[in-house]
Amino acid sequence: MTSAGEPICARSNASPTDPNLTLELWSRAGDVVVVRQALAAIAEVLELSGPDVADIATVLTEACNNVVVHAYPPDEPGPLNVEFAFAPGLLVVTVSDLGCGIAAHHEEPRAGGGRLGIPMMVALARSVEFSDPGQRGTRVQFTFDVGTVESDLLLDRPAWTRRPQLAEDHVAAGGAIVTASPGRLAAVALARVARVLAGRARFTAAGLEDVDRVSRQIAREVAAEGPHRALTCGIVVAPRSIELCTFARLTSIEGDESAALEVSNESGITRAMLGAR
Amino acid sequence: MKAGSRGRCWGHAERAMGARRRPGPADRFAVVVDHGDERTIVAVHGELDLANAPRLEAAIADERVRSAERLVIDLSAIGFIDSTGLRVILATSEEARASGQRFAVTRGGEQVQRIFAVTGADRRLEVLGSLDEA
Repeated sequence: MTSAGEPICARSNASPTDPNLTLELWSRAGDVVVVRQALAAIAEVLELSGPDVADIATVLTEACNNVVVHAYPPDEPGPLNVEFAFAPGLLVVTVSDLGCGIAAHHEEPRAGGGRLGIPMMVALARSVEFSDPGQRGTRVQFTFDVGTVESDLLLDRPAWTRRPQLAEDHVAAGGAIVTASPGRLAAVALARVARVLAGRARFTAAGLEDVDRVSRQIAREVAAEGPHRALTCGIVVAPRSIELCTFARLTSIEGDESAALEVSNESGITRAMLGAR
Repeated sequence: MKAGSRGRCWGHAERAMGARRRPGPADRFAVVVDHGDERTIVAVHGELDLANAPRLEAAIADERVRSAERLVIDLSAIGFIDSTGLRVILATSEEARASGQRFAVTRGGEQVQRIFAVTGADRRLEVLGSLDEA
């Protein structure tokens, strides 16, 4: 983990599986819908058809369900990470955890019709690769055919990001960390993920509109720093409020007159506190 | 993760973080049970996934639903189903068969139909075109 003052981290050299979007979530049932919302953002920038998106949503849901149900002991949940990477003609998605490993993962409950999840994944993805990344955890990588991927979405150079000091316990308590590039994906992905988390924090429609607007402006500001600048934003969730936290120069939100929104900037870190309204 | 590693930048929303999240209006999941003279209809709205499937399971566990002569789970308003949701439906079907209850589901949207086809569930269940056929 970096401290707030030394936040620049280059990603690995660009390769076909360099992620365009990374979600750091927690192994709870409610976080699987966050992954589907992030997929909706991917689908929006790739202009995928409904049936294709539905198949990918099914596969990713089953993979994330496996993490939620099998990766960790029932009373000790842990990280659920999902990476989306664009390659020519392909979407590559990696679902990983730091749990008990792949052998235990495959013990699916047999009630009501036996194993269903893994056959669904195998049937609907172009390829599936299960692996044991090392000391602990499981990593499953899927590829999907997605037709033409526009050139600005393919990372031709390493993206770099500035990551605020983000604590795992905020993710454990209902938040998420989103890292995304390029800017047009970051805007949609952050807005969709923040909206679903805000919905759980009982935001009204007006509050959700605030979340959408602020997310997109934060992503725009970060993207304006350069073509290979990725956004990393922490989302903290509390009852009836959320906080978006990222390295950005932003000190206010355009056209905002809402008392439900408070923006501050300290040491280069923009924090937007939003209320449910 | 140690508590001391919390960043300053995360401060404001921290105070009330201990509270458990409950599903909010944005989840829009609902199970509506209608006890008719000739059949009981359990209509499911929203996404029938790992988070929501227990609510369908609980509705079906109700004595009046279990003892109905004819039980139909209406899937026409479902936006998404995963293997957890499908498992609840298949288990209900097996229990119905064992107890002599007549059981069917209505056809869901494209994603639901695809999952039924991929898993072979469409061959194991009576799938109705609509509630009119119930």
